[in-house]
Amino acid sequence: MQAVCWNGKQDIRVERVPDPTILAGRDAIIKVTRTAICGSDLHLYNGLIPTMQSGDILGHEFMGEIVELGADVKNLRIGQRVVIPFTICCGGCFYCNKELWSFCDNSNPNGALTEKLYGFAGAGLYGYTHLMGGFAGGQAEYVRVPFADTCAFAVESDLEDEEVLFLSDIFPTGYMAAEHCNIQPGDVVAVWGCGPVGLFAIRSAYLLGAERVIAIDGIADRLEMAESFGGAETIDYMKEDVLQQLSLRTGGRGPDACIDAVGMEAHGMGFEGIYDRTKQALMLETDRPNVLRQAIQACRKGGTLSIPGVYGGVVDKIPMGSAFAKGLTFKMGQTHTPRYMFPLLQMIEQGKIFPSDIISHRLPLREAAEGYRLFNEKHECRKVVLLPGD
Amino acid sequence: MSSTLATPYNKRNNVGPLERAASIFAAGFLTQRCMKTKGMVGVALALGAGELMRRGVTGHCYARDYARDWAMREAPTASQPVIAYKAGEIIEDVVTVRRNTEDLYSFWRKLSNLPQFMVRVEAVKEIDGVRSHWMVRGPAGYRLEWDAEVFRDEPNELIAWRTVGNADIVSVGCVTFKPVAGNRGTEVRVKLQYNPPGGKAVSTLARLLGNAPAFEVRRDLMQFRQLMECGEVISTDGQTSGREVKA
Repeated sequence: MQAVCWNGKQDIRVERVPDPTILAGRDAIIKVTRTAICGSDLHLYNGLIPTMQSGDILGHEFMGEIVELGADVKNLRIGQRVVIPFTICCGGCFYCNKELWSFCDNSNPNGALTEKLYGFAGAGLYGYTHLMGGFAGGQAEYVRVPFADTCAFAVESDLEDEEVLFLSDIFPTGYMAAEHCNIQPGDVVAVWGCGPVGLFAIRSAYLLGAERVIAIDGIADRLEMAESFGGAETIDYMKEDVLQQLSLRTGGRGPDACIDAVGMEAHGMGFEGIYDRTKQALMLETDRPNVLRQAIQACRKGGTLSIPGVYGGVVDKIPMGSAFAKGLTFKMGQTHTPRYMFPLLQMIEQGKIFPSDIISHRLPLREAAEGYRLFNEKHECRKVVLLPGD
Repeated sequence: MSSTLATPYNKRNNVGPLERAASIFAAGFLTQRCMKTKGMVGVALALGAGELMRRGVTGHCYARDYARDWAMREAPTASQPVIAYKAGEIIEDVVTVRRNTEDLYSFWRKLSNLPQFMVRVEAVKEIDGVRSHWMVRGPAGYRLEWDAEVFRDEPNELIAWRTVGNADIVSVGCVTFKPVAGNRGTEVRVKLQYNPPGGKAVSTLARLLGNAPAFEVRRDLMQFRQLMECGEVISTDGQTSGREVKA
């Protein structure tokens, strides 16, 4: 089959590799019908997250049709259409039973190593480094899904594939970010980053009852989408002073909640940006936390900071004094995807949101390398969907 | 393999054949290193290599004699101690498993189940209710074997075992099962004490090379949790990748 393989920094190749096979009783093999490139895949593309190996198959946003089932899977059948959450969950551990799916104790085969390095191990992820389990990803024609009886989410409705594909990651991720804000009537929510997760966070904040959402980005196309898809007001950080604007637009109080949908690769401005880029290059700091700093400064007293943007390691110069003095609540972490798949599917069915509107590019799987390049440059490229078998 | 009870301690020859080979191997390794190392460190390495070589060739370890004498002072009444009190390497680790103590105890007590989650254990043959024979993959492809006996067995609470006879690795250990408040499953705690083949020097070397037994115990316990909570050990062995690109 064809699969998108990582071969080093900014070196993506579509290769012919052996088809996946059932390896355990609870496995399924999925024939992928749609898969997408995620913003977090760009961290791998840019070589910022360690323990990738040359030849690893990428991709954690995918859906498809079941073509083979392990002997122990009783609740699924061949031919069923399924969306696969990007976090692999066993369904049997303490965390899965608390619906904290992304903390699954049992789905990372390299968990002991991850614990040694990080002090803990989260759930295994598809195509996202060997510390996260080293699972072959879904940017391929076929993929193996472990614990399919727990993970695979069957979608029976007649919605198009592209309307439900993003239940695998970015829609739940944006939604959980908004849910973390504990939105009250009248609340103003500020969202940094108008990529796909940011856009879903904006829409979700409104769905959860926000009065206003203010979106911050530096790319015209994305700001436009924040207005048209999200219905947000916008701040262009290339042209305006973000902190001043947020204060002016919230009666001098600051937003009730701030969402950092950017994470570790923030494009810092001025001296601060150069400082973080230098430290990252010298490996004195793994992440560039400009947005985090700004969000802490902007948020109102007693407000909430919600962080769906991925951080991978160590940051510094975080204004902890400000966060403490304002009594901010920090909410963050990988998405507990299965928790949200059913309620969000219902919202799509009810026509409250049309997820496929965020797609800007559709490419055949064999052109994945071009997709990564375009998405990494960001301009005019919001979301790339890859079509296997074309 | 002898299945008699622990053989008497032999003061003249207290290092087993495999351990002697390992000592000589380690001596070679250190010799090579000390050639490249100047100053006091180089001298220390050379002395260490000499002692390891002597230990390997003669089969006699002074440190072990000393440890045993010391242990006999500390615990003169302990019956048949297989390892001196506080000697050798000691490992303790724990996982919480979302199953009741009965299930976990009975799975573990059937010792032939253990290779399902202990990566290096190839097979455990139960000889009778007390004795068992172990076959374990050692470092560098060595097969290690020993007989063990369960010397304490408290259903649903504790299993303690120790090696008997001429074991390749002399060890003693126990696993305890303790229910956690709030219906949160069972704490499974392993304590293990063993004489590393080749002695302390080799076990330190193994640790430096990333082959630490404590890590292996951790991984095995995590796999035990996987098996008990999900019915299988999660693995990517045999999955596809671009490393096997088709022509």
